[in-house]
Amino acid sequence: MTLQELYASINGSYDAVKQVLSMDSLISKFIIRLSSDDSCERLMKAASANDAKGMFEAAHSMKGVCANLGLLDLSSMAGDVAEEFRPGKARKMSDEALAIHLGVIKEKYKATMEAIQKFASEQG
Amino acid sequence: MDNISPIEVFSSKKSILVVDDNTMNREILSEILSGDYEILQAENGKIGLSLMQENFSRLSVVLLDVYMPVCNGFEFLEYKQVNHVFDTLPVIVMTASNSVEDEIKCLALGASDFVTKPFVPEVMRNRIKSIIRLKESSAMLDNLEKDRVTQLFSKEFFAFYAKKILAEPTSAKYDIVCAKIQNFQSLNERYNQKYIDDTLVYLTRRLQAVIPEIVIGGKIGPDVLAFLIQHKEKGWEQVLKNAVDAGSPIPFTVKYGIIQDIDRGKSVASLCERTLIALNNVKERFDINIVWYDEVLQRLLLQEQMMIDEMEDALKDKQFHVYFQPKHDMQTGCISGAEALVRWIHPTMGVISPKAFIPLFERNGFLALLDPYIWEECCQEIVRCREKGLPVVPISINVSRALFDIQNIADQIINMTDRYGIDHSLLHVELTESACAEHSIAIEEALEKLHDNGFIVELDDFGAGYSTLTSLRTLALDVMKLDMSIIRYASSTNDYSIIRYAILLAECMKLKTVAEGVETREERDALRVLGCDYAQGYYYSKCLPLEEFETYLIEHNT
Repeated sequence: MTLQELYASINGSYDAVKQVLSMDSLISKFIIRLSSDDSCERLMKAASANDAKGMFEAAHSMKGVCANLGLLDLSSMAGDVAEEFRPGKARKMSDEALAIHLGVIKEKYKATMEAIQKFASEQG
Repeated sequence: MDNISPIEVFSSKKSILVVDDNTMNREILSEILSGDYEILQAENGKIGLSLMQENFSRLSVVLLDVYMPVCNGFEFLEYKQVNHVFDTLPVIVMTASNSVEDEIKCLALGASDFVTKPFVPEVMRNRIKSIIRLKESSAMLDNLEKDRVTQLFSKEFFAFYAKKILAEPTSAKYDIVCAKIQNFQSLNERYNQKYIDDTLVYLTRRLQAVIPEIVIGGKIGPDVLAFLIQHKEKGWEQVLKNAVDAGSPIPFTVKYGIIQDIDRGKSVASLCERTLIALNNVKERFDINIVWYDEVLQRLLLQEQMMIDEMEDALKDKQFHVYFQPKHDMQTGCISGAEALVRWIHPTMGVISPKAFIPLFERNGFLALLDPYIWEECCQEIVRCREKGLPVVPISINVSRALFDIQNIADQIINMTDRYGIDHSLLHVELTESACAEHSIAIEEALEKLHDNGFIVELDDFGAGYSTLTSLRTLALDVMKLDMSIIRYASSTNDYSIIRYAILLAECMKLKTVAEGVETREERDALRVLGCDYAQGYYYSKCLPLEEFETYLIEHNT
């Protein structure tokens, strides 16, 4: 599959990532590297530990990386979680709503990683 | 630890420090910017601060993420703000798009600008370019405040800003560290300006790297860097031993003077002055490179302060006495002249040797009054001898190198000699070594003029330390005086080869030689055989006060 096809399949924005990394070779390089980024994993760990600060930092980190790579959905969702746990701000979401949010992020991230993996193996 | 090689330091590519805990973000940024800039990466504020300190002078801008573990963006900015030496390094904060409060907070903490993620390379590049341009144009205003070469504050502004900092109503304690490059004059003669500049820059950066507590720094002398630092307990100074390493452009030595917990009421300039006095005291000690002001100085300074308080009255009361040490022709044994030396005989302090007060008077300028007084006394003595019918021999007067830049020495001496009606050949001018003054055209021209007007010019202290072959080559000389230290060495090791070659060198340059500090018959014999022309020292006579000198003249008149 082509890079554009990959992005289409994960509901990412090829145009957005092209803004950041102007060359396909770079986009390819970094999207494949996403697997080495541990923000999502850290987010899930912090969630189960009820670590508000940890959740904020991880969600914030994930939001940035995803935005840079054109994964706008994931970025926006991570951003919502980050805002929820911004230091000094009061919680708005209920715990159930938060759990659903995290669940969706986790699923989406997993699907995205699988698609990227497939793309990576095709590159040889 | 970053070991900055001189080549890296002077590469024209500007450097950017990226501080962000997310590896991918750092890599992406690096990818976007590395075409135009060299990128340094830090994964949290603490590492960022450390990299900023080590690489400060080559960084153009910092890209700072806000939320990071260990030390976040706010803390980074806070630390940077307190240490004013980093004020000229702009910080662009990378914020999320909906965090106006963060942005406000960062701006209040001294950030210059912010960009939001995702990165738009064009925007980013332009922001960086314009911030760098802004920094460079404001830097031009800094030029007056900053030393061009090291970018440290100039002497006045170092004092000014230090005073401001010390006036802040905190209980913070501060130390001062002065770093003085040894034998600077000699280095200046050996290397051209570019190497000297590189060395000053190198030392500045190394010290900034090994002393994280630096608040501000200044270049307060051609060979002295001064730093105001947050107070540290003794023991830290060990890092200074490694400050000069293999990356140095030229080989050189530094000595450090440290004052702890400085008195905030005292002027920083005078505190630095005292540290330098302490350093001067250990100039010849190869084993001591770091001096703590409190240990050495109280005692010494009291004496120095007393001398400073007394000196003007001493001059008026004629407490400065001129003594004469006879010089003899080595071949004939006859007296051929005398060197005029000054002693300070104080009513309560007793006899003070010139070693104690000459360096002080060189530094504070009093020598400009004392030396001419001594010369006048010598002229008067020559006239007295003439009138009394005593043998008239040339008197050698000492002229410190430091004086040549202050006043027109040549004219002064010529006019004085003429005023007394003394033949120019009767007054020899001895150019002494001085650690204060740098090599100057003024000296060359003045000596040339004296030489052309019939005065004999002698180079003092040859072999003792700073004098190099350059002096022999560039100055209009007639006589080379061999310092007593090389006579001592030759005598104690029975190896006269250095003296032999010095005399040969003098002969090649058509200079006469005088050996100083001849104490034994063996030395006299050895020197005579080697062809030394004249000698002075205890073997012949110690320094004599006026009356005894006149008696000596009569006794040795053959």
